[in-house]
Amino acid sequence: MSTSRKKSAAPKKPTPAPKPAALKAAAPKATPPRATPGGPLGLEEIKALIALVGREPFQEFEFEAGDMRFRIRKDGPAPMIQAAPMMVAAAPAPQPFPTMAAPAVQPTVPADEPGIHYVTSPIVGTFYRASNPTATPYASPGDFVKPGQTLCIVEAMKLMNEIECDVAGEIVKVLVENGTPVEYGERLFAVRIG
Amino acid sequence: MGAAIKRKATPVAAPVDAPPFKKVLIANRGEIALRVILACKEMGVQTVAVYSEADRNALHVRFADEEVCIGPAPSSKSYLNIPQVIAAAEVTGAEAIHPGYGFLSENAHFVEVCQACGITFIGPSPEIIRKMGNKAQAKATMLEAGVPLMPGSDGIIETVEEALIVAEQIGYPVIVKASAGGGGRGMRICNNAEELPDLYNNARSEAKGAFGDDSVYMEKYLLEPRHIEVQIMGDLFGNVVHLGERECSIQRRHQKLIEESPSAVLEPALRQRICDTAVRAAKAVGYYNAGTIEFLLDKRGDFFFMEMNTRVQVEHPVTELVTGIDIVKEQLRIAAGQKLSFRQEDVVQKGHAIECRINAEDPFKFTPCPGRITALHFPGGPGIRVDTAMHQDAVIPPHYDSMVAKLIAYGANRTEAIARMRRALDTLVIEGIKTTAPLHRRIMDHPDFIAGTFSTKWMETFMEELKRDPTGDPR
Repeated sequence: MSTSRKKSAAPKKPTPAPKPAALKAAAPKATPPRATPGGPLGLEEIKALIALVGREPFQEFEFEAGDMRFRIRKDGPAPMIQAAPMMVAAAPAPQPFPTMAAPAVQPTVPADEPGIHYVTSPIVGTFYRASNPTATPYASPGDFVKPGQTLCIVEAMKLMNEIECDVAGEIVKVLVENGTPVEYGERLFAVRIG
Repeated sequence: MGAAIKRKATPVAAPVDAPPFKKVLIANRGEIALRVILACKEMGVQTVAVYSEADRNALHVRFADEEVCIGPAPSSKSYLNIPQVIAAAEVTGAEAIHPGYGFLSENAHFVEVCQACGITFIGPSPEIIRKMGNKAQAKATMLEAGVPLMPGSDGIIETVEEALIVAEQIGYPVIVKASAGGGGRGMRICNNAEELPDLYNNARSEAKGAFGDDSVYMEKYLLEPRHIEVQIMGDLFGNVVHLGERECSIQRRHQKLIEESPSAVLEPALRQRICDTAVRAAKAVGYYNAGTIEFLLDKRGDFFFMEMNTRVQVEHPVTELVTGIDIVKEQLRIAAGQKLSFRQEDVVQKGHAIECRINAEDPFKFTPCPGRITALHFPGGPGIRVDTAMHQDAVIPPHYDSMVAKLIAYGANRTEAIARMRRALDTLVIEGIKTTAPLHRRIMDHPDFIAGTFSTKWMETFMEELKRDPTGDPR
């Protein structure tokens, strides 16, 4: 759903704890996120770390291990993880995790791949990628799209309803086969925000 | 080929044994959606459930062959959203739509859209729905058909003087009602000419405030009226039959709580007159499919037309139990162009059936109680039917009506039906939410209910009794 990942909503956790200054710390003890000696953290470990920070009354968290360094901030306009530039190029890419809402605000929505927005169908109907069978599709993987741009058509009751993109980014995947029925709320496109 | 057997011309009506449709979409939720799915399953008809996001885990979704999410929780954006429902029928290839009750079931515009899209609506025509949905038009039609109407003003009453004259003709007590009204607002009961002017003016100003329209009319006010309704079924060939009456006098603020068939008070001759009148009323509008004609019956045995419901009723199971006729299956056959599968003389009321509507409400305050059902057990045994879509861990969303189950007891006679209802209520377990089951249990032991001496006003006095004795356990 388009509402499920508001990036800007700062968590504003009503925490009574005094704001600690940027905390320099090694990996916390007895918690899953552990720095693999000599290698970067895996995606799972980073997720666990973010979750931990979300639970604790920290405002900011800085982490350094091997060649990797990042900072997690809970308040502020855009909570984000900053990947240090010195990330080892050879690392088999725990793919970019550029922006992610702080875990404290994460509602019950299942965790999706960070940075991916799903364009969903607002109506029930038949999904078409192009305006007619011979035309080129409105949007294909690799295309950069912007808000308001038509991505596809959902036909209902003989009416062609143009479905517009609600974010800016790159089409990663078309999730529905051309000409098949879609229901309300069904995911149509995966868009990497950016 | 051997000697050809000579046949008469092929019958006009479609064969009865074939499934009436290949695929039917049910534009509803809850127990009635499930009820239609069960009928379809028995007939070999494929089913499509539509649902809102709040009903993702509902049983009608689970038991249908296909399901389509049509919108978010609010009904206006899902179950009442005509384009979404029609689109769901189109993408699944459903030939017909059963509307259940409530939602789109009496929406003439929806029926027209179905027709325009080549989808069969399982119910009467939009013309009939419009005619019976409009109070004034329905009354005019009934008057023409010789159906007794409540004595009252011929339309809107403009002045106090006119009100006094009309009241004199009808005879006191009279009731002044808002034309645009409903729900008791803009309504005044008046016992004599002295109090009429004030009450008339009060009703007008209240109607103005509530509906933006201060026009009022006047009717005779019945003392201790009983709600008697007649189940009608008609086909596309002009056949109309009745399936006997139901008594629904146990109601609170026009919400029925308990229904039974037959009524405990109708003598055979009066029953015959009421049912014949209902058939005449239905024929007058060229009615087809299932419908119900509601009457008010007064102490002296006079009855008056109230309204017609052009859909299947919540309380249809009591009629099914005493007649042995499956009303929902018959609805599908009729919509598919088949003739009624029975004639009037085939319809016999046998035994007695009572239905209690179990709502997710505080049993004595009636405040709605949505929530999660943590434990659930439905009674069974001889003569018990439960129509419900509830299940363990079901969440009753706050967006829809509060009915969680219909408990229906059948017995050889009224006494046995009451006894079965009592033990069914005693063995019903619904935990996690409050329900009206304890209220029903008390009514089942009340001398008035047992004697059958009650009117549509009975709940009011019973609620007073409860206030005086809130903890009294009849068992």
